[in-house]
Amino acid sequence: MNLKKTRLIALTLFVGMLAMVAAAACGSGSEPEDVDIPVTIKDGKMSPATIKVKQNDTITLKIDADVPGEFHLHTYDIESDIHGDEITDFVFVADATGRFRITYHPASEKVGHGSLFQSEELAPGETFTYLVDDHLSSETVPFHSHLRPALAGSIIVSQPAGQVATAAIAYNDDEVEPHEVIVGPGTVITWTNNSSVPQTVISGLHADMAMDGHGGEDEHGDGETEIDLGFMEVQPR
Amino acid sequence: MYKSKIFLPAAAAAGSLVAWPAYAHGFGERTELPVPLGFFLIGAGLAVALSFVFISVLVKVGGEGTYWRFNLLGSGWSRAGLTSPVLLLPIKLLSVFLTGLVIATGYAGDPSPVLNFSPTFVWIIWWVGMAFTVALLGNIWALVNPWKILFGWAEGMYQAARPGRSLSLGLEYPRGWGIWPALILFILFIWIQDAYPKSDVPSQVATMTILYSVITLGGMAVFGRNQWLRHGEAFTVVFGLLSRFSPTEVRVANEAACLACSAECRDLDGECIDCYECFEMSGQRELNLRPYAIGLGRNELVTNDVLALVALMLATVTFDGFSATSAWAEFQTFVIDLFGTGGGDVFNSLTLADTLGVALVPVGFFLVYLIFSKLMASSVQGEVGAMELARVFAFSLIPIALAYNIAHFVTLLVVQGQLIIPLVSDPFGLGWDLFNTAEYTLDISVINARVLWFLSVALIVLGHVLAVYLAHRVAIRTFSDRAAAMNSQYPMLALMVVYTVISLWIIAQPIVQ
Repeated sequence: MNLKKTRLIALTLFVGMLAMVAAAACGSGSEPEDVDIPVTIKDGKMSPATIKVKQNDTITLKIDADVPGEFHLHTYDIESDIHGDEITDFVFVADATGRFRITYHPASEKVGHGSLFQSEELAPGETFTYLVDDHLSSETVPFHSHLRPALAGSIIVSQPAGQVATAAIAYNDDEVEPHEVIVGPGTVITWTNNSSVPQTVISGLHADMAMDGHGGEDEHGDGETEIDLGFMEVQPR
Repeated sequence: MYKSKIFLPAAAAAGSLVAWPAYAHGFGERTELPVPLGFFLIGAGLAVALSFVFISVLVKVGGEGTYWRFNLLGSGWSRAGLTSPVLLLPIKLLSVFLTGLVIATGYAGDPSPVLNFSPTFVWIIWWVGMAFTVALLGNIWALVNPWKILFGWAEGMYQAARPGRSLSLGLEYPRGWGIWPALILFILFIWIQDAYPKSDVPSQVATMTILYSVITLGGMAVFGRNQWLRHGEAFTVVFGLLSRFSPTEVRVANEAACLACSAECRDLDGECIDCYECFEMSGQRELNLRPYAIGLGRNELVTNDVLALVALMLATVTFDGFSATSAWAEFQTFVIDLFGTGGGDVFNSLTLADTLGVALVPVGFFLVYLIFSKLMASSVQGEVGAMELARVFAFSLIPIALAYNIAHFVTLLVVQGQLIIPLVSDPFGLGWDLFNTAEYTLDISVINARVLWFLSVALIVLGHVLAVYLAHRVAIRTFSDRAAAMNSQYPMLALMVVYTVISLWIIAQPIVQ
């Protein structure tokens, strides 16, 4: 009686374990492939919300984002800048299985130091131009001269179809004239260095620089928006 | 549906080079793939099937207290090796050094959680790693506990300077307090792990370490070292409980020596097992190998405070996993909608939601357990009361919780735990490279999802089987006849199946954090 039941237990255990081993072992056995996956990012949402891939595939995400920013695949820890106006390829080899977070740091959410535009050194009399991107609508873009941070101003981008197609800003010796312009997307802004010393034009506040550190990978300063887009699921092969 | 608002406090705290956001749940990002439906169903089916097969086979199993043992201190060379100060002193020094290092790096090191030694060491290596070790190997916490070591040294020096005097005030520990002080400290620790948004900030880790050191050394100074360790040092109590599962025990063979130390050291069979106070004093010491889990089935008095601790531990490991599921995220969103998003970094709605979880999940867990205890009591016509049954069967649920705990944390330990490799070379984040490992990059493919799924389901089913076995041993011991013992086991079995299936369900959930 007892022996019979012990056998029954052993059998149940054995069959169960066997089923799991079978499930564990029976991968598709297929060879790794190169896979292209179209991904759209719109209004802070990603489609598909969960990207499913197979282990060891070489994945190319064709990312079509409505705003420029930084696409971050966590734990793999790959970050890549995404353009707002064209499809950007994000390529990686999915060698580790798991479920990995994907976040996005839109560039327009905070105009970082030099993230939008940055001029060469402008000698007295030289000019710099910048075309206001469509995605900046309703944003305020601060700028300053990096060589003389006191010379600073801001570009207030109105809703689409602004009135002015061009705008001019002049650096004088002690002020920016005008220090605030209201423009629509698509406007070309021209800075002229009317001062007696070299200047630069750079987007962002001078104060941001300390926060962002000096380049490098540290893109996660305080206050930066991080949007959770979804997940990358790498299934075992 | 933006979640960014919810995660802002944690994300802001994580200003890091590696840019791993650190979450409120202790520290570290989870990357497990959900267990596929097939594994889940096989696991759940096995748990149910084995339970029914078991219950009929177990009729023959007795409830006697003896079990297989092998004394590691039995032969001269192994005793010399295992008790040698040459081996023990460096371990103790290292433990005290690491405690100091946690405090030093916490304050003086890089403020980013991933560039600083203290959060990874405390939350992953020590808390997760120590829990695994004491359960799977043995209670090494009794050996490496830095507060126990420090107080022991201080006591030794004091006695050398002023012979015959004791460093401790030696106040009588109030019997009614039981292990409630340890329980309260452990609840605070769990709250910090699961709800406090700044649990991963290095300076906060250092502050918590100092506060806990003051409490622990203070408790020892007032009530004596062993009294406080047994009742007030949360980790001695918690790791002690987990180590009952382990395949090693310390035992005092000599009954006279056993009678000389506190009454709490002896179980109802009059044996002194895993009592370090006795062990240190006695001459006839055994360090035994024993079967896994058997230490949870010993015949001993379980008081309400111990029952509360067991319920809390079972609930909190489950909650730690549950709190990463979308079901919990919905609850958080609900609380945030209710109370708004204001309140600052710490006292916001997200913390409130998690605090509710930390507080209410154990209560809910306990109530469910009580209901099943009532069912057990009525199935034996009230031969033994429901509360008494709740107490005696409490330990038998631990294998399921432990198995789930391992399934839940193993990825965190082996993947994120690798962070400790570069961090030991550069604990302060100052650019040092002491052991030439500072440039180490994590191997995130170290554990394959398929292996992990298999391991998780197998562990949880195995935990379930051990739980059923333990409960049966307790039943045979508790009830007057076998028929009553068997009858009592049906409600218990139902509870265990529910608990096992919930554990499996959680590992089958997509993790949202």
